[in-house]
Amino acid sequence: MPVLILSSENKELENKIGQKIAQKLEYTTLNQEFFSEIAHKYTLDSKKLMNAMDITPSILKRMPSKQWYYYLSCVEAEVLDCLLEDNCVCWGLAAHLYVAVVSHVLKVRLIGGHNSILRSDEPNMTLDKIKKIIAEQERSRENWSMTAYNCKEADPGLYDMVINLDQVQTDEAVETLSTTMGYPRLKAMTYSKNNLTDRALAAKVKNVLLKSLADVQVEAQNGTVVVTTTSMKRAKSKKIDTIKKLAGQVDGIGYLEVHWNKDMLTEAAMSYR
Amino acid sequence: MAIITISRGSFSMGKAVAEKVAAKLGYGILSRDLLFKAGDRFHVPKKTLEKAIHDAPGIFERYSHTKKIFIAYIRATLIEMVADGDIVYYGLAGHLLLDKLPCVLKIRIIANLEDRVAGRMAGGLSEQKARAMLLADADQRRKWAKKIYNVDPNDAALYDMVICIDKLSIDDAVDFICQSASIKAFKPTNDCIRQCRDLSLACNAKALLVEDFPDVGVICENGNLLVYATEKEAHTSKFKKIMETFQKENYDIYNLEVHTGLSVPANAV
Amino acid sequence: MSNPLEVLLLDDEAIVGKRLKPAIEKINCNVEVFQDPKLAVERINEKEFDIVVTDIYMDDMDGMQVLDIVLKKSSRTKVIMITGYAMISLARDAMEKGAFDFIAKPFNPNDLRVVIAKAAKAMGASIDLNTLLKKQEK
Repeated sequence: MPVLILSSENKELENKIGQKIAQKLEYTTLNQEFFSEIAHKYTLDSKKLMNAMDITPSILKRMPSKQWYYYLSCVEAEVLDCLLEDNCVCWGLAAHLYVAVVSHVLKVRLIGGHNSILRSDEPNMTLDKIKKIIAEQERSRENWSMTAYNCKEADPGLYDMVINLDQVQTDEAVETLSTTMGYPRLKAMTYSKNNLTDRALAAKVKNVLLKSLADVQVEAQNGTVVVTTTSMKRAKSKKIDTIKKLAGQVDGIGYLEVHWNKDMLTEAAMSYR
Repeated sequence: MAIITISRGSFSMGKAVAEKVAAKLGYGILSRDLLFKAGDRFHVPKKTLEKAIHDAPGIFERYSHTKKIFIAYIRATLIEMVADGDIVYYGLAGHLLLDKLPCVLKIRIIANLEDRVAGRMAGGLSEQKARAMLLADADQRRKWAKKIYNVDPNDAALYDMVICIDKLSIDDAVDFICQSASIKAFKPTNDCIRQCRDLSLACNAKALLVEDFPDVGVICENGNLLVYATEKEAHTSKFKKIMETFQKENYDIYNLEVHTGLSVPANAV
Repeated sequence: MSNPLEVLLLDDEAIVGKRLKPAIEKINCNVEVFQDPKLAVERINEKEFDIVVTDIYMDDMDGMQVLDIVLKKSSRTKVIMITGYAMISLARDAMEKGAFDFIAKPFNPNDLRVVIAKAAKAMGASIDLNTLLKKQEK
């Protein structure tokens, strides 16, 4: 039941390789086509949802911070739920950023392969121009991933391996990854399944809370959920009660703990009033 | 004729991977013995060469050409030693020294810092000291690569594959590398062999010239050796003597041309 | 009723054996508990167990070595690794060496029963957890 998560700036190759591997191994796929399902389930604007996966929060772009975090939490909750079903190839949903420490998940970054982007119908497009575009995209993605998940998307340490498609052909990459998915070390085990279940539960709780609240972090382990939040002192008990009420509606919680931290900056700002 | 370079931080199990790959493929293996050979050939102490290829240039070095000279020596020796192919090089800066060679499979092995610290501590060091040494080493490597080649050694784009050794096993890494070595892009072709020979000639010529003429650039294509120098340099008797002797000793040189007044091409050695 | 499964449980912490032995015996298993890995290995060499549950980090010998010894003796035996210091690399190593499953502490005894039932199924035996546990309650 291993899961393969791909990440790449080269969306075309990422899609091609993902589809080929899924076909070869008879796995299901989970990619950007999933956005419409998520949007439908949460009654969101699907264009805005897809946009949230590309841009950082900005009033000018009509994506306030609170809404942005909520949109991301919807994607995270649904994707993690699907990954529990296993035997899946996933790409285009930033899963490589929020699925961590799950031993039956193989995370692979694909870089290069820009030659494949050169098209005959775009005569002015040169390899140098494409590289400039890709570099710009990488900067933008780094900004996005730092804001959303506090990690750099291009950091090789996030992945099990990085494959440079400038020399390694698509079919060779497909062959390598397909073989790797059969390795015994990627077999699912109780430890890894529990880790993924914990993450899925935490994501669900976070999603429920972020619909109406801000500034919540959620962790889960073996059914115990810990929610950490920040607010002004006078709003403390109301916020904790709200969290308990909302989180209590989520299935699978054995025990809920809420940790509260004082929002020092707002307190200091308000203290002069 | 695959040439495999394995780049890694200290205590990232790169050596173990390299040894297993070489054993599995029946390839030769090369690391710091390269420095002994280069030292013997160019009469430079091994420690000096090691410093040249490891430490970032100091303030005074930035204004002298000593590092350039020693790196040219190391590179000339390395190219000669790997030109026949079927070799795994796991010494320093292989992916940079061999960047102009085709058919080179460039691998980087990474490991998380905590595991590397634990590995370093096995030598009897305290955790603090081990961590400090590893971070200092990584810093030197980064500065060296930035100063000499203007690249970040942690940039995945420099390599064909980056393998995280604490998430995948050494044996997995060995399998990936051996599998990749057999793919078309890294298989020997006549063109590949010719380019290796050309690069070896260019690097050897550069190694002979670099001490007295550090800014000279050399390209070799199909045995045609092109040397880019200033007018003043090209007219010195020393320059002419070196070039004459080199051409005489190397039968592979079909033609030797010295170009003056032109900027050194980007792909020159 | 099928023959009881022969289970060896190895953990250097006495409380683990004390807690897990009765829990596993409830599902028709004969359980032998060891705290000393060397004694456990001696017993493994004497008798072929169906399932071995072993801790990983122990003083004289670690669970990976026990795993190697068990599988060398009998590839049929299912080895379940348990540890309080679970890491992705350790888990993957264990699976690569042939462990049947890997469980991080702390865990519910029922989690282990579920894994044992799976191991039994993989061996061609069967453990009907619900029926056995209901019987025990009565």
